[in-house]
Amino acid sequence: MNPLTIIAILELINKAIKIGGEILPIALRAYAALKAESGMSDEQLIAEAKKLNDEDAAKLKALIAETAS
Amino acid sequence: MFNSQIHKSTLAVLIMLSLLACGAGKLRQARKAAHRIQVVTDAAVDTTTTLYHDGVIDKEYTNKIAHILLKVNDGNRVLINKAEAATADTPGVRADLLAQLRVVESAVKELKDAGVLGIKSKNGSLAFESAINALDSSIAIIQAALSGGK
Repeated sequence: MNPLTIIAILELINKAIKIGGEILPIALRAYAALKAESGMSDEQLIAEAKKLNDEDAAKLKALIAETAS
Repeated sequence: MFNSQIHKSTLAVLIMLSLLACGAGKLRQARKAAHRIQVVTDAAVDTTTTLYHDGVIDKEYTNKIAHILLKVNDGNRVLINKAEAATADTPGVRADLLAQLRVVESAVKELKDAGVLGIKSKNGSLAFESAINALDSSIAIIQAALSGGK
């Protein structure tokens, strides 16, 4: 994992600790996913990125619908 | 101030180390970058949803941010597909990947421009800012790698 990304994610975890609640598990999950990156093949990286991308598109569309005025 | 100086020095050393580490496997780097951007986007999506459900950000602001995050997500989907399809490290492939990175970067800039003004809680805005910074650093690293030599 790239050192700059580690810093940014650690910063997110640091802020998340102060907020507590649900943000901390999100930051820790992101950290674990990035840490696992170096052990993944190119195919696994792409497959994982596509899977997350599909999930995020669905989550965002649901959030947009929920917050539409 | 002292802490800030230490932080800057550490950051400078880490930038140098990361640029050195980018020497090998540009296509692998691009695939890693697309994955990394997606992981951080995922964290930003979940952070936004949580901040909204906790009442830290209002409905209107959440809707605006969700639309911009969808742009980031859509832009990164194209990057993922391009990184997957690339079979050789050629100037044309690099230019294509860099052009798509600029699309993602532009959506991230929009996210920054939307600001954290809609987040009333200081810690909430800091968490959101950190997610944006993580996106920024992921993009900057791969731009530097693809712009550099073999």
